Amino acid sequence: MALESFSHKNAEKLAGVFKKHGINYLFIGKTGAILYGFPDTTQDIDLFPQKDRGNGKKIVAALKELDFETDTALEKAIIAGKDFIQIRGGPFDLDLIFAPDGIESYQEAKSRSHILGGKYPVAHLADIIRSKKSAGRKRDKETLPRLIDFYNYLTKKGG
Amino acid sequence: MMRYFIGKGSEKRLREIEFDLSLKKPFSRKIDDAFIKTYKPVLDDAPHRIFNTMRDYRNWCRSELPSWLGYGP
Repeated sequence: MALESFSHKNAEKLAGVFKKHGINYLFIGKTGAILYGFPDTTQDIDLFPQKDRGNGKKIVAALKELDFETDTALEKAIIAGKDFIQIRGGPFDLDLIFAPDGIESYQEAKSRSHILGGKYPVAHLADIIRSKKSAGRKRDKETLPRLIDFYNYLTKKGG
Repeated sequence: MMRYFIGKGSEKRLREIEFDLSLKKPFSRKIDDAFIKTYKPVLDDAPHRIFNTMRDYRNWCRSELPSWLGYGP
């Protein structure tokens, strides 16, 4: 497990290394909502990568460059694009979600996404909300009313 | 600058103030304030886990994780 919390320096490094390797991905989940400015806390980073063997190979290379511990099983799973991969053996906790609940395809989500802070590709907040509704977890049900209020607030402000 | 309110504001108004303050933070601060590392039993006890399907992942969460972590329904 990671010993320290994810910081903006980790975020910049992650985005920089993923860009260098040409990886297609989106921040999603509460991580994505926080990048929009949603005032809440979380522990791990949720990424929605495009499911594609070439993209998977690039992710493996990027994770090694970011000092994540990998083994053959993990590398094969990333390249194959298994639906959900939890990675705790690295500088921060990371979930790769190749098939997030409530989202039909990467391309659809990508077409609605935004680049925030000039470098962070983030799924549309409406997609993040839809995914959390579909997941139906207790923790999501607790977050959703505030997150929907935040989305409505942003929409009202023209954000 | 921090604003103070005397008396009780409506929940909607207080939430809007919270959102407004958060949106004014620099990007780096939004990230540094939001990610807090604490140990999560079971979840943090393996270097990685691989699930073929989201259904497998949900079933594992329900059967293996303490309910108070909130990963169940």
